[in-house]
Amino acid sequence: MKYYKTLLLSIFVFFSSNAFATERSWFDEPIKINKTYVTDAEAVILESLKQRGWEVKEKSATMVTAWLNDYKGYELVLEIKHDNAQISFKQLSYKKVGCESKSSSRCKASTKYSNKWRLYLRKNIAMNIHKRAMDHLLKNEKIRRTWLEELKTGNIEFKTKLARNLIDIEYFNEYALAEIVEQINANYQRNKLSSDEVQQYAFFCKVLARSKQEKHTELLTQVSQKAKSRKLRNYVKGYLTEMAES
Amino acid sequence: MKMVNLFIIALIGLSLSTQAEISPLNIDQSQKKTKDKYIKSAHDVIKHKSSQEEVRFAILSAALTSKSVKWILEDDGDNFLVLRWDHSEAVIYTKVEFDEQYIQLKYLDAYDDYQCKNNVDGICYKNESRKYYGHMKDLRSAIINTLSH
Repeated sequence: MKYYKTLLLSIFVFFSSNAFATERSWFDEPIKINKTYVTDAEAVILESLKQRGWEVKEKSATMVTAWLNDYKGYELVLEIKHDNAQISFKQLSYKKVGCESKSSSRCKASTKYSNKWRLYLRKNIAMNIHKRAMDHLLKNEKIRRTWLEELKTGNIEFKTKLARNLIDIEYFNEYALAEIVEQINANYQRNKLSSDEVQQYAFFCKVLARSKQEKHTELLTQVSQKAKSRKLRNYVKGYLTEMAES
Repeated sequence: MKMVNLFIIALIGLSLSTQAEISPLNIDQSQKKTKDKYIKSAHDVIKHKSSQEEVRFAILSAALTSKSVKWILEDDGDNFLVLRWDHSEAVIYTKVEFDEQYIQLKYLDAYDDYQCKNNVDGICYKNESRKYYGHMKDLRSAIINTLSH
């Protein structure tokens, strides 16, 4: 009998230790955080809300009430709690704008949309944590040197690919940006840039523009005016316009 | 007798919390499984000579290089990272384990079309969708590629 009890207890230990055994949904599972590189969970949440066009309705030391206000005719309110171990989500309300009665069919709000919007926000928060983990590791000089070496010595195709990837994931690490600035400065006035090189420097400039850091505006303006390649000048003019509009 | 019971429970708890050492993939032919080449493309070990921190950075960096859907960090610990692949309500959780010698991708969980039908210690012998092996292959190749630079 005692062994039977032990077996039952063991099964309980197994299931309680398995974090993924609990009921959950694909769009609002809690995100685990590592305090080594996520020193301020609230900052990560606020940054992500801004990036996804959400507003902050209320805020306390451990919670942010996020508000997607009149988005495509809907209003969604989420409670985002954070502690030392995780960021968790709870939907507080979801309705069509201007609708108070839930019973009316006109006011019925499909969860298809809200689930998606919640997932996008969750993904954005997870992505910002991912980037912080990378930033933390780049403090290690050897890792940083190896990574930047690729940006320095890689061929045109590799550098272009890397720049496109930085734009794609919106990863604007200060060390990478400094290296990119150095390479643009050294080359944009060169006489004979091949078409592949023009592409590469255009993407380098696009990285700077997308970072939305004011300190790069001067260099971008110079490139748009003084680069020998007309194509490069035109590309960068476009990025500056995009930067001014955002 | 109580002591024996406590010992058994502690042993189970310990076996769940500690991580087995990574060893080269040995496909058990007696398992219900898909083709070996698919299993290898996803779960074969990657040999490396880098430090733990370098491996960690290579995995994080490789996870974001895919052109379409990225693998995003979900959890981490001393010798592992959990990455999540998210696309059209389908989700794959992969635990990337590493030690001084090897890196290995292990199936952790999935939603929708990518559930593993035969999961043996993180090696998915048979998945609902063969595409699972394609996505895992992409991640594994990206890690190899990043480490080789």
